[in-house]
Amino acid sequence: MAESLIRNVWLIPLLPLLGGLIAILGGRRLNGWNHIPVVAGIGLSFLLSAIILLGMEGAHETEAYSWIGIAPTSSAADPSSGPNGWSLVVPVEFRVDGLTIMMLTMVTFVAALVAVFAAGYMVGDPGYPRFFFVFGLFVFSMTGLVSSSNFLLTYAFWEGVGVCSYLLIGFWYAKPAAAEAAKKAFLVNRVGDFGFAIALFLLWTYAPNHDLSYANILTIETRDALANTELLFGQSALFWIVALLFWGATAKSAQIPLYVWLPDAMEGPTPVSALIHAATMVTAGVYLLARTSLLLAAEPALQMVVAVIGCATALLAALIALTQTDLKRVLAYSTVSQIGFMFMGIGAGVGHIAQFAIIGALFHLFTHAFFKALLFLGSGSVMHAMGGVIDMRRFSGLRHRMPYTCWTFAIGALALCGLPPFAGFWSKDEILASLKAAGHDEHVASGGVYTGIYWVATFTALLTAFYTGRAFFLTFFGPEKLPSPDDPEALGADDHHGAHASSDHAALGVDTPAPDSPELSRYEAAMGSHRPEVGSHAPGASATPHEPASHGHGHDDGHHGHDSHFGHESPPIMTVPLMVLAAGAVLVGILFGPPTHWFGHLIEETPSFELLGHGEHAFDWGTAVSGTLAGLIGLGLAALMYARRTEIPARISALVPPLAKASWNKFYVDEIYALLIVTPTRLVATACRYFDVYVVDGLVRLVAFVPRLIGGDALRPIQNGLIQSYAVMTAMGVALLLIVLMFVG
Amino acid sequence: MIPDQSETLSRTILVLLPEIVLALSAAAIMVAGPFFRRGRSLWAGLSAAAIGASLLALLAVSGSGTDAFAYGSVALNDALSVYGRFAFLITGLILLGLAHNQVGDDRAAEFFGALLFVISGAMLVCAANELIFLFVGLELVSIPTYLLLYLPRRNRTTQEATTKYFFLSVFSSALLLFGFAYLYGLTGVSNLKALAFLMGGGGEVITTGTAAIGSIAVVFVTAGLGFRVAAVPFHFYAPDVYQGAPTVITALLAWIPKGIGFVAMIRVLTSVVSVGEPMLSERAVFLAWLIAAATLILGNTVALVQTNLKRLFAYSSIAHAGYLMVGVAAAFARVEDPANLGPYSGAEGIVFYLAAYALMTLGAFGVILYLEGSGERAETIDDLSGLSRTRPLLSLAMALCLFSLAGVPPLAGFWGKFFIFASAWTAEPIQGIPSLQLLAVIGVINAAIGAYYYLRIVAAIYYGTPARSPAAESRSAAGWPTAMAVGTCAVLSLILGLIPGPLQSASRRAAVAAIGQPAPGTSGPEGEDETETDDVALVRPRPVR
Repeated sequence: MAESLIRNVWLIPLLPLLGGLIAILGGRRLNGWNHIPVVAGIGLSFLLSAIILLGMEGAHETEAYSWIGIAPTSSAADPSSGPNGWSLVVPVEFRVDGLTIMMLTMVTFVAALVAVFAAGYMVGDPGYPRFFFVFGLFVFSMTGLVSSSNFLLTYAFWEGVGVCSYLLIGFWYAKPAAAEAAKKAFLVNRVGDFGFAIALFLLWTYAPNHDLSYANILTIETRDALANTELLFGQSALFWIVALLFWGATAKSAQIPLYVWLPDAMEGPTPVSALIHAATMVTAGVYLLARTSLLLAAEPALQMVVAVIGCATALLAALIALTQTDLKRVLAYSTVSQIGFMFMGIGAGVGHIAQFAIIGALFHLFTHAFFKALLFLGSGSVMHAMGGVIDMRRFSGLRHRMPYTCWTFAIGALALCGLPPFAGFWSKDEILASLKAAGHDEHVASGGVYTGIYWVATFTALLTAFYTGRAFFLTFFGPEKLPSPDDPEALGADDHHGAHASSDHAALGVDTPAPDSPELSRYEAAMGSHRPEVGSHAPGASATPHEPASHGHGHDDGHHGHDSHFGHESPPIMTVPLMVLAAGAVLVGILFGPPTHWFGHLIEETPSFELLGHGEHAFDWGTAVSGTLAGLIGLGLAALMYARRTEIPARISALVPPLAKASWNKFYVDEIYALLIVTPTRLVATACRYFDVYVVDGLVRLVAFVPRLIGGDALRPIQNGLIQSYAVMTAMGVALLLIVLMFVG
Repeated sequence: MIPDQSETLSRTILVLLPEIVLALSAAAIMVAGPFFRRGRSLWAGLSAAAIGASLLALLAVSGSGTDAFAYGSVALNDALSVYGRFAFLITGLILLGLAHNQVGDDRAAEFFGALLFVISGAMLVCAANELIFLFVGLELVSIPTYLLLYLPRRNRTTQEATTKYFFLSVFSSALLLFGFAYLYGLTGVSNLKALAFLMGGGGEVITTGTAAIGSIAVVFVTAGLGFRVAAVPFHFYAPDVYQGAPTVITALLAWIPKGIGFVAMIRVLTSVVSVGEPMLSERAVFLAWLIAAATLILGNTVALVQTNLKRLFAYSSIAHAGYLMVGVAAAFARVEDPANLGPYSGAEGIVFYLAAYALMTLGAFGVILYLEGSGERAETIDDLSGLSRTRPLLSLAMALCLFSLAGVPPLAGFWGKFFIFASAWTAEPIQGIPSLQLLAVIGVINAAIGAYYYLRIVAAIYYGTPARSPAAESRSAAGWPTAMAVGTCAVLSLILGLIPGPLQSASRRAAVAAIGQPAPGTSGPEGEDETETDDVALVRPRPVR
């Protein structure tokens, strides 16, 4: 069973795609059941992945079909033989190994649950079929990305997830903030994809046989060959390839300097944030670096850069998350921060602990998917109940109204804080331990840097626990309060946010277009009949938050009895996925982590990982204790400050006003980018526009004028319809060609 | 062992079975026509059956190799021959689908008979291994084409188009024969494999003294075939004839003569010259370079300003002849070892491009025919504007064909351009003439210009406002064979673009077979050396000086 499945692993990406196609082609005919084919497709894919996972031995590669194959001729096989050795072989090949099957199982599991959740969350949205189509398309791209067996196919799917992310962030495209966010995400990702593409060009140029398959590239021989090819500025081809791959990874995985798109991406529907922007797509960069860790391991300087970037990102994002009031944004920055941890783990893959560090980073990727998806879905549940409001200043004390959401969220929060025995503890501990070991390894040059990173990471863990606790207590503890349109924050009137287009709409509630949007009427018309207004006592109807996924009255869609959830717990279709994920967030650490080493053994079944250094590594009690202490202190502080409403936070921020303000304004990174990159780009764009209008268009007009001249005036005497003249012209042509040829050579 | 004369003859007849089936059916249909006054569907059905029978015959004989007979036989059954004949039979069926209702009942038998003759002539060209036989094949295409031009509609415009085509075609045949005469004079043989052998290492016929004679031969043969493919400066007839001819015959003219012209160039010119002396092959590359550049530039720039659809497609077909000439230029380049072609070869690109070109051109003309058949105007681009509102499927087919013509991936036309440009780009540079890489760059720039006028039609179809009244009820549907032919072209353009592998490997085999030289007489066991020398002497008279 497992063997035949391994040969047909392409089924796993295909099933969600089929489900998505059925969802969109069925359209309204499916009568609101469009989620069924997608959930079924992803669920089946998960089953197949699980079967392969249990029955797998070693790595396999299968070629599904060769798209185009121009083989190099035997005499011209070596790349130095110039253009005649150029070949073009594009096989569509998939692989099954430890890393791939781990990613496949995780992605399909989380995606299946998120799809179930979304079936409840998105009910009544006019774009319901479209949502599930893109959802299926995304799972197709993501599973294809992790199961493809050559760089070219990986790149194609890499772009595929980028497109799906664009489509899903901008799902409510009528809302300007969502459209802006989608555009921003796409453009920032393009910057990264550019690096990835150049890396592929270099690989293709210098790899033996121009073969981009992992089996060819990820070997010691190829690595040495690349390392011995000098390319630019005295650095080898290997250096540039790894650097460019890292560049690509920073964009997809939202690291400094390209993390800015992820917080804004929260404009998309919450299930999308949970799936794409927390659990799966953003980890694609980590996956890519882990996949190519063999190449990375030969460039210690770049590994250091990876670790430092990861560390800086983790710290910066954690500092920003301290003061954000938008629950989803706190989680978004927390995602950026946690992926920073993963990058630290990848960067610590030096010396004899290389394999241990990579496994640690991947384990964190694995556990993070569970608890971060849980947290996002929990926030979605809150948002669902609060009528689309996600600003933590406008609600509090929800623990009695939403018990399931509250306690599952608590589990996710504890896992994120990294307290034992929750999943996050085990994986964070492995990363910290490998950082510490890298710092103490005498074979590693400048191990001191790693020690520094270790302490910053521990401090970041403290901050993580603090902001997580803050978000949890603000939302679920304190006096019970529900959002009302009279809230001072409701109109986005506060000065801080006034400057940022995207932020002030977020304060309005994710589902509501800006009041003055020209698209509003169209949007209202589309949504209107499906969305009964909540809090209709509000004076300004334009600012009234709409329930994001309210169920239309009298819908015959099998979800009776949930006409309005305002202020109430979400229906079971949403809370059950929360509980399943919560169980995962508790258990996956103990079941698969260091206590059993099951995860480590699985990942070791990846061919190129065997070539990494793998010394013995014992469980490090010191790191475990200090990491846990950091988490406890952070959580304790948060409980002290926010569990009951006190004046402490206000006093603290009054103590260090510039710092608090900077954090509140996200350290002005968006403004700095606007000044340093967007403005010059706009200037260049304006210049280009003038160049385009006056120079290029002028040239085009000239070019278009010439054929008119030729066709109209110059050729008319020749193209005159007379046979004699045609024959004469032909004869003269022959004569001319003869004369030219006689005098050449 | 060395084949004797009668065995060669019987084997040749066997190999030519598909053409014989087709020609006999054509003759029978034409003879029977005056005696049975029946509707055109009968004759169209019979013709389809004849093509089907010919296809079966081709499949039956496709296994029998002719390498052992290569130096004595007039016809070959190598990969190029099978590929080309298969392509012409399939496109023959498509043409038949397009033509099934284009002629009156009274002239239907002659019309379909002539169409079958054209197809069998085209197939003969693919199989030909002999100068005279090749010429017979070319004429077997030309002469029925004169009939076809005039049969469906007898009025002044078709009369003018027919006359122009007739005289200029005869003129080009004369040029071609003149070139053939020089080739024969140079080597003393008319068998193409023997010709290639003698021009190459075997005969040393090309010396500094005879290089000029070789150039004359190459120029005249190129001129004769250049007329058929409508390459500059032999293209003058094309716009006038395309516009004046009935649309279905325009489609035929845009494909069949171009197809056989390039197959004949591979057979007579590139396979013969590229294995020979560099002195001659370099001149031939330069010749093809000049023609390709001129054809590309003229075809594309003049097509830019056309508004009449048929005239636009006439110039577009000239432009496509330019892309194919790029491939010819690359194929002319010296090949050191015919058994080892390198990753990209010009002939391979040509053969691939021809298949893609047939589908997309016939598809585009098919859409026009379909509209004409259902009583709508389809003469200018404006007539097509807003077509997507009324006929979404037909518009999609047209868009696919036009995108393929423009060379947009992942359609078949893209791969055709890719292989041709790749072969030009990777060709070895030659001293003293402009490099083929420059030609590839010219080709790519022209592809961009070409995209403009194709996409203009797509834009009109999808974004234009319909000019005609929305009285959609009154329109009639054209026949199902037309619809099927158009559908086949569009779908195949897409499929061959998505899965180019099989066609690419078939093209490669064809290119290898075309240039391959079976060792003369060494295919038999040792010990029959006497017979071998006799036989080689038979096919290798002394070169005439």
